[in-house]
Amino acid sequence: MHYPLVSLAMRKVGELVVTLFVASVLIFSLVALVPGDPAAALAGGTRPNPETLAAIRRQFRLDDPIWQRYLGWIGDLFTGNLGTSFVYRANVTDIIGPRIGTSLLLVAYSALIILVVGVGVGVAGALGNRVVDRGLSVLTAIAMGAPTFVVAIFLISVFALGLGWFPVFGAGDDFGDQLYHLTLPAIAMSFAYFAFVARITRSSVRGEMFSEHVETARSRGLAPRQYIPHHVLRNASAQIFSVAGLTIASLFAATVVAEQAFGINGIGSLLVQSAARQDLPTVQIISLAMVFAFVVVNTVVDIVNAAIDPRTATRGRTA
Amino acid sequence: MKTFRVAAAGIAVLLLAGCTAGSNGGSNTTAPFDPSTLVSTTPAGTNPVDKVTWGIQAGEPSSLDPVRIGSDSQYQIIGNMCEALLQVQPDFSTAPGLATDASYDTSGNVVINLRPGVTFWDGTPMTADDVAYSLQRSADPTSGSITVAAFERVANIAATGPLQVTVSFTTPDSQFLNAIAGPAGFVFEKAFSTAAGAGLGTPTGGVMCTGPFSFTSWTSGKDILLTANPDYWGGAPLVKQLDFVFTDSDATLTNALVSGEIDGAFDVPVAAMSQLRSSSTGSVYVGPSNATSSFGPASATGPGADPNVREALNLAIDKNSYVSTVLGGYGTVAKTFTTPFMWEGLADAGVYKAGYDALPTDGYDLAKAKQLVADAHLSTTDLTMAIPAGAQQILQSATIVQAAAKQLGLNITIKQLQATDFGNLFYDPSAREGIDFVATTGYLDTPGAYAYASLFALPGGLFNWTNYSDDQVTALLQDGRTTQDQTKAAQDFVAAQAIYAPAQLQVTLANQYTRVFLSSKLTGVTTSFSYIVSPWALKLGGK
Repeated sequence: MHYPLVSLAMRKVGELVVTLFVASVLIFSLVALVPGDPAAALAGGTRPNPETLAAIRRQFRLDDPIWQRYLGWIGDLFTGNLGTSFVYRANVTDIIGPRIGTSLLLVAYSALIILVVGVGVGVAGALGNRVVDRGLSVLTAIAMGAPTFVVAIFLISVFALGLGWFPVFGAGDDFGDQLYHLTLPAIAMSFAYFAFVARITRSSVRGEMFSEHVETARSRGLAPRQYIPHHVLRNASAQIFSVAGLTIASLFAATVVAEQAFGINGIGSLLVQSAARQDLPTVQIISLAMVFAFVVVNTVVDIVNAAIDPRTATRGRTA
Repeated sequence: MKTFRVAAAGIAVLLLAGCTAGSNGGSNTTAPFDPSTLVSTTPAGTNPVDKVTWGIQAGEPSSLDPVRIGSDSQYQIIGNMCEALLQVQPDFSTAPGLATDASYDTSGNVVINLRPGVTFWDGTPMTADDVAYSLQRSADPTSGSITVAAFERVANIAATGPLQVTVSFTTPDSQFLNAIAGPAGFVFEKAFSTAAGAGLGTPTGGVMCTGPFSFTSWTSGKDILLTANPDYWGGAPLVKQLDFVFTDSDATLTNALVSGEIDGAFDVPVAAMSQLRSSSTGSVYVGPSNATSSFGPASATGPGADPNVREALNLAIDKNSYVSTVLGGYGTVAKTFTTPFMWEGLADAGVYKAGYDALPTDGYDLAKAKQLVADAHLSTTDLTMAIPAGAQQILQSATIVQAAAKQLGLNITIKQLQATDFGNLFYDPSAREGIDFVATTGYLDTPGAYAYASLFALPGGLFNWTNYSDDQVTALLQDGRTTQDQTKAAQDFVAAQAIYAPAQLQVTLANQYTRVFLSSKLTGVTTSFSYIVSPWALKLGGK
């Protein structure tokens, strides 16, 4: 017996491991090769004394060859030790821990908006009349071209400062308050992406509308409400799902801009602050986590896609 | 190929992070600010307030360890928790703090008598043992202390009574009493600190001090929460909870202040001043400060090392225009790097003022500047100025210096350095190779005129990178530093300043004022620069 889905899943997981390995080497070496002596910054003071510097270099393994530092770092990661922040002198776990929930919620919120609005607008454009289609097409073109920080400034000035409907900064306390605080950031973040998903949805639904099996259904006198859900949307869903998946995966990196603009202390803004302060251990972990999230979501999308449409399992890659 | 694309995504994130770091300051020309409206305090609050949310413009502090306080964020938070032996007042004078008295005895030791009845937040009485421990830790370079320089003439620190600590010196130090009004004189509980070890001042470790607000929690990335200390020796504060939130961007802070989500902040952006002044949620107060914008030579060779070239640049920069554009009018022209607010609160302020007033006023004089450069017969006209990356105001300063230099036929290349690299400039001579000037901003957290003079004008001074050496200046500064007679210290300083000031060891562009925003419901904060080390929220309350 041959199980195409199982072999696809195994292949994808293999790719995932290789990708993460390559990414970890790249991230570690790039960040570690940044010029400047972190030991001096860590020691503080105006004239750090040599013993203090030596102790810091030992503690952070700064004198070891780079491959040894990499192996030590990876080894620690597997034991759950994410390292010590150069800036906060605390374990990176303790710094990321309180912020990761906020970022995950923001990504999930944006993903929901992208899926619901993107697919909705796309289907409306594909099935609607010419005026609706043109109108939505212009809307999505504008949305795709609007940079996240510009959208953020607009949303803040209109809905937070102008109308006072939403707060201008922070991430909120309990779950309801968090949703309230994250609404504008989630909209800002999903703006360009929803338009992208809408365009793909539109063209993919359009494509199916003129495919042979739909023509057949139509010629046999089926009403649109009968053939559209089963023949059009279902067949279009694989492509929409894979594009939406890829888009959502890249949202982790998009948090960098949105969190900065709205003063949300999540992983994205932490990455910017850590890079500015040359907090190498924190930068390394967040970068790796972002790549990890991207690759994992991507892999899941590929596997789920194959489950929806078994042809893709044998065809191989979908995105 | 998927692998490549994924890896590339990771790299793009890093580059993006590098590009977007930093603040978004900006210049703004407004109606000139009237210096007679400068205020050092606001009237004390009269009504209790449950919670005040305070914005920390410079972002989350890295540590609250009392011996590692050196950044704006740390200063603004620590002053309400940890107290120094003497207290800096709104006029930048010093007054008794945790010490009721600190003075020189006949043998040249500083005897510190402690205030009786002071307890740490956990109820433990403050003892001479705690104070000696605190000072010793501040003096110890291996503790990571950044106040070691204040103790460089100290021989020994010992508890000499239940409420008395005596400090002896290898050579007397006229500036020690000023220093212990700042972080060098912070007192923290010995038992708590030794138990906390390396965790002291971290989000989980916290601190244990005596101030009007106690450390309650530090949620990394979110806030630092302080609670009123009901047993504070100076009377309990009116504000029950003081919540510090971190805003890394100027726009976020401004929006949050205007919308009333944040009640107040120090150091509000110049570019946002007109928006904040017209806000209905609160008012902006402008206070006196000793902070300066300046640039100075980084090398003992090259054009920057020539005092005539520095004087030429000094004459070619229109300082009044600098103040109105870069500082939005919230500052004033300064004659030298030791600005009046550093000594105005001292007993001998009159001596310092006479000396300052007697310094030449270098007005804008392009013709004279060109002549100085022509007479200098420079071997090269290409210079490099280092600035910290992402510091918008310093970049503006550097750009203005660059434009002035161009009129003199000098080409200045601005080199932006990452934080660590910029920090390296200050103690690693090899890091300064190829750099002619360093532009920066600076301030002093405690009163006293000697700090900058010793750094810039004494041989071996930490920032004396041109190896400036004048026997008379050296003798005067050393005499004044090692006397116990404060008037003599003032006279010696003023005499030395008159000699070194024309050498433009640091070209001072301006003295900037403090800019403080406060909700219209509140009053009682300190608005002069003394907020930097004092319990500025002690009198904060409702109107």
